[in-house]
Amino acid sequence: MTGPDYLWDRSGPPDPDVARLEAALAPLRHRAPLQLPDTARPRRPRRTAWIGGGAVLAAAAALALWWMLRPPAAPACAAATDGFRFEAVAGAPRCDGATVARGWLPVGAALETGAGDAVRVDVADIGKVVLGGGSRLALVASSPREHRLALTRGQLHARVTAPPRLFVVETPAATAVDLGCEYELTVGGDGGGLLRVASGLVELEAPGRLVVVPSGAQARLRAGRGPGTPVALASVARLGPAVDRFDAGDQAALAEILASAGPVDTVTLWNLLLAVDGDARGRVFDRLSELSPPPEWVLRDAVLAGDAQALREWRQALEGEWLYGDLPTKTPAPP
Amino acid sequence: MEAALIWMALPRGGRLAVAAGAGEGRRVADSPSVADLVRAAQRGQRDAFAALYDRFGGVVHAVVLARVPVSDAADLVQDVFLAAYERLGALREPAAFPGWIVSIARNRAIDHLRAPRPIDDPPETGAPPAPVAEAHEVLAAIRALPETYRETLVLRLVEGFTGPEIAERTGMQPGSVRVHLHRGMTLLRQRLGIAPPAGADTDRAADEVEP
Repeated sequence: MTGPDYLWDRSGPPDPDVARLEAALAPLRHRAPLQLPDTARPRRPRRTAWIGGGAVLAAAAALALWWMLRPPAAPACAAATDGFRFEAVAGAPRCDGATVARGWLPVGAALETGAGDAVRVDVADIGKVVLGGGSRLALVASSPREHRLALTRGQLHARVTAPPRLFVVETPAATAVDLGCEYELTVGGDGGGLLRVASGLVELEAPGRLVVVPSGAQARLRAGRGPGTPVALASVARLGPAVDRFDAGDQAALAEILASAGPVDTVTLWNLLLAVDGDARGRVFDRLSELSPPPEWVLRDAVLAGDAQALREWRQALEGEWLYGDLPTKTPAPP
Repeated sequence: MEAALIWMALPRGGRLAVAAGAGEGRRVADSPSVADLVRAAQRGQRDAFAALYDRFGGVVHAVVLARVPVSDAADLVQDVFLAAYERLGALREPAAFPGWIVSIARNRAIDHLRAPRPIDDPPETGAPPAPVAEAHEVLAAIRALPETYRETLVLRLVEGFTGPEIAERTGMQPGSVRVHLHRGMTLLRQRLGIAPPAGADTDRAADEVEP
């Protein structure tokens, strides 16, 4: 399905210009061996070896004193030493029911905020979440393979720098899977909500439904029905009502979407390819091709057949437009 | 430098042979994961850290070479890895190592440029050998491109990583890497006066060349 591309992966015949530049730049290639001093050692983040016996005893005494004088409802989150570190930015958040200004959110515990509260949460080493007012956020799991939170109400702003799929936020309607990005997630009282992506990409997953939301786009979270079709923020007023009707089951709205879709709406159309089939998928393919032709190796028949690789290849080609908004656009082919 | 096979103990028992030696990271007999290497290095296994250097030395070199004078790049790479080694115990997420070390490299390179010293290469005594002079000329053209494309082009054209390898070792999306490579190459051709290949669409890319 993918044609040879020497610049990308050295497949196919060498591009003579690229090969000449590779040869010209070869003298600058990294060759030096590692020079690690014998004295270098990884530092422990919390070393205790320097603590003498007296210091240990003093610490033990202080701990015992704190234990005896601690409030009756000692907050587990304040005592925790593992999980995600958090700190109140405004107001007085609760962690596992106890008011705690700062501490660690352990796996299984939840942070709750009142109106006007805000809490900053460090997501391991990979990013930060700011939890807004009227919210409930639980830490479901934390491991080197995945950090999983659950937002059951309220709003959060997440900024993560990590390999894709390491940071996940569950909501009642869909699960947001980070692909390296910054976004805002809102969940209302009925479990529905909204995802707005500021940079990078987020996948919203629900049983039988997957959408990709890039920077500059939003998608609704529909309680009991999974994620809605993403819409570019610049098109919400123009295209949003028709997309909402289509997501609610009005198939006739598809014609309105296709007719009014412009160059910034390729994100809506690519996601619609996953939501429709048969003749409707062919119509979406044709309109999307007019706005942004697929790579030549992505064939119409393959897309109409739902070929996952073809859809992925087209998506990867479109990601440049979605993420940077300034890819070269080609003139639509004449009808 | 010739690659030498070393034996490395892994967390769940077992041992794997890995290739050690700068620039030979792709000649790996049976590669342990980055996370496994990080965990082993955190326990003090210097061979594991050497294997990380072997795998990421070129990446770090490209990141700094895209920003600092050629003559400073090698020393800066050593600084980055020394800093990384000393801070490794604080890295709670071993799988995040690629993005982590790239961040250290970018910060060190930026700090280096902010330091009170000339940012251009020092004058050479006598003309450099022709191949080196050409390399410097092409590198200067890459550095004149928008920052978005510099690192990716240096990773591909200087260090020889393929697009998929760049994505894997920097944490970037493969689609983004591909876009950066093709658009960056289009701009580089223009800057070097190389005619675009037949059928290339360069109209928009041409607008992005910095004055």
